[in-house]
Amino acid sequence: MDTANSVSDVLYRLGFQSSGDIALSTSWVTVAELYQWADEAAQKIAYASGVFCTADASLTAIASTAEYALPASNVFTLATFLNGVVLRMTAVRDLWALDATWPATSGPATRASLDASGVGTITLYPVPTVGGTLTQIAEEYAPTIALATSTVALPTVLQDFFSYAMMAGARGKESDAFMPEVAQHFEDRMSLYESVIQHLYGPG
Amino acid sequence: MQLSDMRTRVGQRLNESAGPVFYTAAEINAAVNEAQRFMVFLTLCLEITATWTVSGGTTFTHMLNVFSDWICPLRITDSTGAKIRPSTLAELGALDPSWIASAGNTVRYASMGADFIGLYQQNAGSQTLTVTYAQAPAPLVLDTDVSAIPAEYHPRLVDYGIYRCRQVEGGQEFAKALKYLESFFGGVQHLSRYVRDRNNGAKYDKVPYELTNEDVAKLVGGQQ
Repeated sequence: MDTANSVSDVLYRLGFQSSGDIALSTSWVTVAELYQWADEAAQKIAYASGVFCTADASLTAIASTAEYALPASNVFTLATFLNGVVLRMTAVRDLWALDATWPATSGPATRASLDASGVGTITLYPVPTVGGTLTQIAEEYAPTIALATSTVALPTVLQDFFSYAMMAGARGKESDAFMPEVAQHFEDRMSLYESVIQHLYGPG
Repeated sequence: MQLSDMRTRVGQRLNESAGPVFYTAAEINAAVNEAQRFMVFLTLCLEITATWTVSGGTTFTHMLNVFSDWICPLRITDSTGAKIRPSTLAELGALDPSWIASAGNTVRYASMGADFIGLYQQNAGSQTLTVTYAQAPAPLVLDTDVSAIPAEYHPRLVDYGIYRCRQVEGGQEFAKALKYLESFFGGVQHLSRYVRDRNNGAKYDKVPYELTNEDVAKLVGGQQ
């Protein structure tokens, strides 16, 4: 889906006659700003509903190393596999309950923890004696939406979610075209989209 | 109702019977197209059954790369017609710790995010699956184009078109148009109930969102 369609779809509703009109230096809002609001909306549904899922095999586990930094785009890891075998996701409190010296225990990794170390890391238990590909089924956030990178991997019916994100941002912006009650309505429209997105695509 | 009919009605009801002046034809067309996208997203009223050729050993697929009009899966069956059962990642992990690389006939699938599907097990060779999925509507471009949404709901698309056209005005003028959005939502709730009952009866894997009166009231100013 191309959010450029959303930009052309909102111009008239923001009071512009054409794309040339909004490009004028006197314009109260810019196309770059419209894309920023679309980008922020995409990131919100990335963490709130996990719409951008993928299988990431970019990490390689190494023997004797338990902790790995997750890919920069990672939002949440749903499942992890070492060499194709699932690792049980385990909270660190359960690792302590399971093994009082768990940080020092080594052997074939059977579990993975997302809270055993800092945010954005994954820790294997036991400390692996065998390395290999660490595949993750993960929710990610979308690449930045901008003028030159306006496509986003979502169904075409969500085009208008981004249109309303752009209009909510524009009408809520401090300017001569500030329309708070209309901006609120557009934000409520986005909330409804988010509820449906959660229903159709959210976890569970 | 074809696109030109809906555009004419929107124009007439916006006091532009003689032809577009303030609300252009392109703007009204865009409004009607938004209306049908929104109605389909809320009701999942359009579905299609298509074949999906899966290469041997494939576990994961982004379905938007296969079907550009994808919304969500409703049912997947194999070449014998047997249903491939929807499962959670936890269920697949409990069933088979090596499920992402487990050769065999495909019997289950997991759906994640907007379009990500994982198959368990993975056929060694290429296989053809049959996928029924909720389908995004084709854009209405030509004057003779007719929306695939059931015809009795086309007047609700006209209502939405009026509401959308008046968004540019804001304030009280825009508030006056909210009754048209309310009418649109009435059609959505009716159609959505039908699709939900139908999908439950067919044991589909997804049902439409249940649009509540509270959802509607929030958007139409508490008129519900």
